[in-house]
Amino acid sequence: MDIMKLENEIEFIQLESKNKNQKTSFLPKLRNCLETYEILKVKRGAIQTKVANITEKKIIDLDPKLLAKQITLIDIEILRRVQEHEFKDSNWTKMNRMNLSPNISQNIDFFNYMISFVQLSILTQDDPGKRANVIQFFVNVCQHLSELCSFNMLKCVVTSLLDLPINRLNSTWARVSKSSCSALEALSKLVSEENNFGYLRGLLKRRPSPAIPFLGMFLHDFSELEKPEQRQEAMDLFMYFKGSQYPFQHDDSLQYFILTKPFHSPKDMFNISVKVEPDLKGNPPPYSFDDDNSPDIETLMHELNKLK
Amino acid sequence: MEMISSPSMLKPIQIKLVLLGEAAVGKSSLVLRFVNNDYQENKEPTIGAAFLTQKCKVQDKIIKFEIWDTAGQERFHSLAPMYYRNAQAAIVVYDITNSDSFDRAKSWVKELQRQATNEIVVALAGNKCDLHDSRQVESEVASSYSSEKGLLFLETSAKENENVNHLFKEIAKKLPLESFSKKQVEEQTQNSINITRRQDSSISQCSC
Repeated sequence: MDIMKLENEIEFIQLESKNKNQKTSFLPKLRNCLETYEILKVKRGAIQTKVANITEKKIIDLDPKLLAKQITLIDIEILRRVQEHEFKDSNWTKMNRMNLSPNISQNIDFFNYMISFVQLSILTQDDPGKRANVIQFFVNVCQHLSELCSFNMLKCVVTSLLDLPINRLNSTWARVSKSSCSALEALSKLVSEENNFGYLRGLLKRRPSPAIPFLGMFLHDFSELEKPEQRQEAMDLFMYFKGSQYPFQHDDSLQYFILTKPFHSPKDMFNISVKVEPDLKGNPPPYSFDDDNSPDIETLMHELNKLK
Repeated sequence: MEMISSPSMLKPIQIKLVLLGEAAVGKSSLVLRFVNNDYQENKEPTIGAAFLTQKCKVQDKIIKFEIWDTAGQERFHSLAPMYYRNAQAAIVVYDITNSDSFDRAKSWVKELQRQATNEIVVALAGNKCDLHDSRQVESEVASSYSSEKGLLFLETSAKENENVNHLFKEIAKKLPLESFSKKQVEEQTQNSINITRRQDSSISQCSC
């Protein structure tokens, strides 16, 4: 229930009581209202403090396991809404993709947003040691994602770390532990394109549950496959994973923390990276991506709130 | 070009080749046409192959093309750059019956020349050249653009198997194979995404 509505109702009851001068009939109603009001106020306060605390929190203070769980929850909720017709004619790559393949597009947008989230978390640290710590933190997140069979987000976080804006930070990587580097290498193989996503396909054949496959693998298949029986086979597999249920609770304040960061395009991110660690040998020029693909995070949050 | 069916003869030189272009220009059919000439290695029809290999012989060397196809994943930021970042060759494909796809191809070329390694061999392929009647991109236009940018240029038809093998052969000829084979003996890098790759020079080489 909404606090504003309750306040209005309380005011209305109080006004009514003065007018009619009938104390008995409205009293229980008012008391009931006031009780709910107090509970809500306390709850709202608690949420606000929680949100305030977490916003001030540093990424490194978060529990990597909790972060992995929450991004998995967001990811599966978007994936669950994807409809069969959205896979037609590579519509998700077209200009009016938002109308033709709205949920696939939103899923890709969330993926792109998370790349920005991870890279920005690293690049906003002010020295190489701190940046290395955050990289190690995200390798840790990757380990939890792979345990959750949350392969779409695993691909996303791995890509974020291996992508040029982060990959080029030589002074930072020099401070990342060897064990983190080799863990990252192993995890990146899990979701690698090599042998046509051979490793991932092998894992998915065993139909783990719950599990979220890398959506890009399906998008690639659907953009290539022409035979109806092959398309059906891929669709059946997709539908199986789309039904995945993860048995954890939403953590509103953590999701708020995740979803309210500024979004930067690859080009911006590259420029930030060069500012953070200038390249003495001469900078490769920035990305020339057309940025019509900025994710609409407000819509995303709105949609997620509706689901709760 | 001669396809190799017994791989044990010589140690092949691995070449990472990335395929770029707008959706539906026929990127994948081009590769499937190239790869399926060798029926020995690809008996099963590949489910949307994001990654295929094909060996071929050029002069007295065996080249193993590792072909990476980004089709369907164009909207994911950061994925395409990962594909082409340490590629030695790229084929940018457009559809001769679709002038928008030619514009998109040009922006891919620009992107490649900014981002990839200096040594990358880029080929521009005007696919669907069997559809003369609905042509929107003139050969001369694409050809003069290619010579201006230093690209290989061919019009191809995956459907009619026209110029497909020729395209790969031309790429192979242009590759600085001597330096690749030396490098690969030294490094034996099998992985395209190799974390230790940070230490090598493929990024900093790009001091364009």
